[in-house]
Amino acid sequence: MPKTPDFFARKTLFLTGAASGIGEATAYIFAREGANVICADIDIEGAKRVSHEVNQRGGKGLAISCDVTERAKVEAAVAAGVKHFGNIDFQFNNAGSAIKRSKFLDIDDDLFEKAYDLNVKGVFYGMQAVLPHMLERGGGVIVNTASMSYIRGGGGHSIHYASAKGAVVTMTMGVAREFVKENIRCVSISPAAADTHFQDISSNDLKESMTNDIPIGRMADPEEIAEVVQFLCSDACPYITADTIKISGGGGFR
Amino acid sequence: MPKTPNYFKNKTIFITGAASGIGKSTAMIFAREGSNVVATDIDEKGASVIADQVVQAGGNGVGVHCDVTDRNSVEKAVSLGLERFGKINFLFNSAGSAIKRAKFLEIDEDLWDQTYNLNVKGTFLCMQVVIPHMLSEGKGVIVNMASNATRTGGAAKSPHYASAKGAVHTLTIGVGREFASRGVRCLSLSPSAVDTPFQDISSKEMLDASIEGNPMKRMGTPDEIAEMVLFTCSDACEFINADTLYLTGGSKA
Repeated sequence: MPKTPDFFARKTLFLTGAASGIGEATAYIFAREGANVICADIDIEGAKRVSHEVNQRGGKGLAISCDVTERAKVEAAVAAGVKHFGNIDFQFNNAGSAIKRSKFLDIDDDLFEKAYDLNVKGVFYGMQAVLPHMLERGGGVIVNTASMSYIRGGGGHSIHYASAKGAVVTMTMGVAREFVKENIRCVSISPAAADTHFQDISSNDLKESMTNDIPIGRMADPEEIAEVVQFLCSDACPYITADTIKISGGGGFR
Repeated sequence: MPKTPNYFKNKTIFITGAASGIGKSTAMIFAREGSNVVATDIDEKGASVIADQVVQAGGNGVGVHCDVTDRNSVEKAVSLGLERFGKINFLFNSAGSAIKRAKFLEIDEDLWDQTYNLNVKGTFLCMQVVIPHMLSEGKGVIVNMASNATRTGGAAKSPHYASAKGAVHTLTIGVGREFASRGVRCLSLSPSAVDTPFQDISSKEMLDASIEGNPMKRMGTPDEIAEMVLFTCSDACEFINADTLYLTGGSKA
């Protein structure tokens, strides 16, 4: 993926939500390129499994337990990663979930707060924890997971989630512009429905209607998202920052 | 850039506007990956020079004359490319220009027509000629040049060009969706100002303002756009379709 062969060799990615789905796929694609991967997840057993697999696939893995909704845990995870590998070049704030599907009038305070804590505050804490390190090192790339739902609105099933991802898109723009002079890029990705455990909360009807809205006629594979994450981190992509990259199979951006 | 090593080796890209700027950079980056490059341009000599450089850089190249505003010329160039390499896997419609800078009330019909013929009809014609071939192969990727001007509107310097690029953006969405289920992806790139001969028509004040207004305080380089063309054509990018990708250094427009 990079412009320079071996660009990713021994560079380090800090990855949240590493134990499954898009996070897991990203860990393996960075492993393929010989990178170090800090596999952070609230599911430590899953993180260990992925980290072990990273080692098998040509990278170096480190599993860390991390609840991104707790600032102290995020700071500790970043510090442990830096201590282990000496540096963090890339951060992928991928941990996220719609928690459950819900019609707008059924969204209670608990669901709303959980969705925002995980999807917005988690990204906020991740970036605040890693930016001082990137500033000290003179650069870095941050990729945040937004969602096509940020323009679709999630009506009928996940406005709590879609609006939280809208906040991620906007936070990404602000951070990118604030730190652009310090050689730090910050971008978000907006996938359409991807075929991961994220969809365990989706009914068959919902999955079918989401798929029908995608011109390519299927959900995204997590690897397809992960390859874009790697491209965005690479030296082939120095002029993209602040924006969100839609990985939508051609659907849904009106 | 691809997911599979050597993915681009012996695959063929048809590039319009290949003699300079982003088209030229793209030819050289595909050459690096061992591709066949059909380098087309209205400047036939320029196209041949690039084709030679492609060969020196490790690819196979052929320089072909092509006036993208003329259907016959496009059909001939595509036939020559197919004759030479047997297939066209990727089409990059890079030929384009703002022709000259003009405020809205100064745009005459000649400038308007030239701009739309080159930027919109050129893209339309090349896609119409190449797509039947891609459909018969069951696979293909088309990359069109839109512009960040679709968001700024080209106010006071090139609304003729900005609006033509808006048409390219929308044409891309339509084509991307019409052919998605048949293996052909189509997407567009929207850069802010890029440091190429395109800017020969821009005053120093205009360029200074554009650099000053950019968060990265510089223009894009043609290589940066070309690397994105390569990525979007690759097997690492199979779920991005119909959309436009912004390469703007974080520009606020």
